[in-house]
Parts: sequence; structure tokens; C-alpha cells
Amino acid sequence: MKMNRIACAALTAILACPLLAGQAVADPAQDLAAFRDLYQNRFPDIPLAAHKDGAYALDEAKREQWLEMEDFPPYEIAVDDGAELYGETFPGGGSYGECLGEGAPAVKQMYPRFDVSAGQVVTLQMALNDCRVKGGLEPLAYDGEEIAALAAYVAMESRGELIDFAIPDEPGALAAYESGKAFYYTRRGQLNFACSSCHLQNAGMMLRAERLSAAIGHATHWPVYRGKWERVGSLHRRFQECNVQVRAEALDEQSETYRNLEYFLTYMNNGMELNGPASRK
Amino acid sequence: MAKPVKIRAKLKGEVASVKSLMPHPMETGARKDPEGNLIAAHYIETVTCEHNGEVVVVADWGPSVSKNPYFAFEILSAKAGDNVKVSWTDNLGETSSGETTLK
Amino acid sequence: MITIVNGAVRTLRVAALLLAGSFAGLANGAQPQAADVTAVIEQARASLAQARQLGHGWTVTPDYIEVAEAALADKRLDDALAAAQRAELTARQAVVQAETEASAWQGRVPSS
Repeated sequence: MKMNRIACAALTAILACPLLAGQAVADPAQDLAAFRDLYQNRFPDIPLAAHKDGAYALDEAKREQWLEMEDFPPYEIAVDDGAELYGETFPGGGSYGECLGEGAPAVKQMYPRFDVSAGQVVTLQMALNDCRVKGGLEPLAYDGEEIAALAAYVAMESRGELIDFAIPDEPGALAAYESGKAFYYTRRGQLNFACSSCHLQNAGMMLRAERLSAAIGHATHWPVYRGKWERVGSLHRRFQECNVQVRAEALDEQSETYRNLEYFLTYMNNGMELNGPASRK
Repeated sequence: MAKPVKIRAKLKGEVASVKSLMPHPMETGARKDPEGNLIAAHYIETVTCEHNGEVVVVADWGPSVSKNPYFAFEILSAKAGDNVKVSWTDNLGETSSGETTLK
Repeated sequence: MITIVNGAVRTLRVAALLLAGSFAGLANGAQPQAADVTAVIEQARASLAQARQLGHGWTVTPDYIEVAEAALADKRLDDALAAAQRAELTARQAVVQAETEASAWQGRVPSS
């Protein structure tokens, strides 16, 4: 639309300020540095590492209530179930441990990763299902309780590990990263919010009765026992909820879009400590 | 097969702080499944807590208690080696329990 | 089909909004016929498909379509047209959002 282009050009000229002008193709490492700076400046008294606790790093009263729950957390039941599932041998031979490889089950920090041969982002849940299929089992439904329990167990075992990966210098991986990044900053839904609207621009502010958490802690603590769900659910389920809350249609769990989004978000959480599974309201 | 009650207890002086987590669906009987059929009521009716075999707490629950209930209580005048047990019975006659020894 | 992710049944809310809001009616002021309503619903569906193709489907659009079709079946043509028009408008707005956001998102990326 001609009007839009003129308007955009004018705006860019007026607002040609380094803080506001985005870059067409940026270096992920640069994006990460800018991301960290944003939160460092927004919350100068809070060390970046503390944001792994989400809103509980920003609100003392909520933190107290959360710590009380952590004394005997509701996700323990799912972790026990997950441990039981994890211990089963596959009918075709092998086990989750053998399939997931070195360090298993403490492997959450290896996901998501870009599988060059498959040409797509592979998440923990996808890897677990891949193991099942290779071992002669049916894959689990991504929105079901069993995959959530397995993920909860792996997350528990992986606590303390650091998110630490680079985007491989490979067109597929960079495209997946860019796709996730574009999704994150794009306004969507009738309410016209981007993920960044709440979790970058307004992190720390109240949204109705909730404190908006910083995106820099978002990839560390999944899966989550959400009180609202009365069960453990995945990051993708939360993506679905966020989308519907701004009146944008949700996508399926483990869809390509959500996997790319998880890829971008997890990269932005590089250096953060894994502390899942977690309990949340 | 009902899952066992998860139980933890901390002894501070003579006071034992007991916490329990009871895996249970706690269905009210008012919820509907995706096809529109009512899901049958299935909830814990009675919780009994024992200290060395002596009943110290009896709780009457109903459908208003949420799924996988958490229940905590304190026992005054307890000592190391004491046995603490939490058990429940539900409206379908199922039961379960969990116990621990105070340290 | 209403997607109940939050457990919220949005159709009821949408219907309430219609009753509370103003009613646009037909451009020429004439009484709407079933054919008028159907035409708008078809337009809404087409725009919704386009919005979805661009990854920007809004949850309210299919809800409005459902309300429109229910009202149409009930012969409440004023309500049906109002809902159909809301469906078409929201779908069209979603497409505009997709087109604008294709470049606008970059302005939100932080840079040091």
C-alpha cells in the first residue's frame, strides 16, 4: 500500500535512532547482547540469572507464596510418573537413556537444537517421541499428560545445567531463528500485542492481577505445573494460551512455528540456568 | 490402583511439621467431557492422620477440594522415631496412605 | 467449532457484544435478506482463510461466523447480518495486520 510505504519511510527518517531502528538481518549474538542489555537496564538491581524465577524475581509477595509451594511442589507427581515411563525398555530393544545419549537423562540443555539433516528444529518432546518410535512404541500426543511427565522428569534431572548453544552457521538454522524472532516481535490477534509488548516493553508491570515476567527467564523452567491447568504442561501450551489471550488463533503444540519460536526464545536465554519443572499460577 | 500419599515431616524440638501430597483426580461430578457427558464424581471423603497409631486428625472433604490435594498439619509433642501416617478414603471406596518416620 | 483453550466459551461473549453494540445494517438501509447475510459470511470466510494463510487468524472471526450462521438459521436476519459484518471486518483487519506487521516487527527488536 503506497500510503503505508510513505508513512514507513517518514517514520524511519524521523525515528532514525539506534534504539528504535531494527536491523533487516542481524547477527544472533548481537541480538542476544542487546536483549541482555535491555533487561540489565530495566532491572538494574536484579541479576540476570534471577529472572529464571520469572515473575517471582519481580514480586516479593508472590515469591513468598511460590517458595512455600516449592516446599512440596505439585509437579512431583508428574516427575514420579515420568521417571516410571523413562525406566521402561522399548519392545524393539533399547531405552530412552540409550537413545538420548551421553548424560541422559540430564539432557534438557541440548534442546531445542537444529537438526541439519532433518532441516528443522528438534525439541525435547520430539526427541522423546523419536526414541519411542525407534524403539517400536507409538508416539505420545504432544498435548497429553504422558509426554509432559517424561519432560518433567528430564527437566528435573537437568536442573542446574546451563543453556549454552550457538546457532549453527547454516541457512536452515538461521532461517528458523529468524522465523522465531519475527514471530516474537510481530503484533497479532485482535488485541494486537506482540510477545515483546508484554515481556520486553512491559516486563515488571502488572497485567490485571499478574506481574509480567521478563523474557530472559522464559526458557529455563519448562515444563510447568500451572495451577490453572491442574497439571504439567509445555511451553508450547503456554504459547497457545498467550496467543488466544490476545485473540490470535493458536497453533498446535510442536508445530513448526512454535518450534522456531522456542528456538529463538531459548537462544535469548543463553547462559541461564535450567530450573524446571516449575510450579506457576 | 490408587497412588500412595507422598509425605514429608520435619521435627523441630517437639513439634513435627507434616506435609502430604495426595494424587487424586478429585472430580466434582459436575464437569463434562469433550463429548458432553458428565464425568463421574470421584473425590476424597475422609482423611485420617495417625501419630504412632493414634488418630490425631480426621478431615471430612468433598468435591470442593482441588485435584491432587496438599494437606499439612503439625503434631505437638512428637519425637524422633515416631511414625506418622496419612490415609484417605474416597466416595468410590478406594483408599490409599503414606507414612514416614520422624528424624 | 469453538476452540476452548481457556475454558472460556467466547460465543456467548461475542453474542452479548453484538446486542450491546451498534448495528451497521445494509449500506442502502434496506431490510437484509438471507442472501445478503450469506454473501457477507462467504466474504468473511474468504478473508479468514487469507488471514490464516498469513499466520494471523483472529479467534473472534470464526466465533462471529458461528453466531451469524446460528442467527441466520433462526431467521434473525438483523443479528445475522451484524455478526457476519463483524466477522468480515475482523478478518479483513487481521489481513491488514499481517501486511503491516511483515515489516513493522523489526522496529521492536532491541539493539544496543
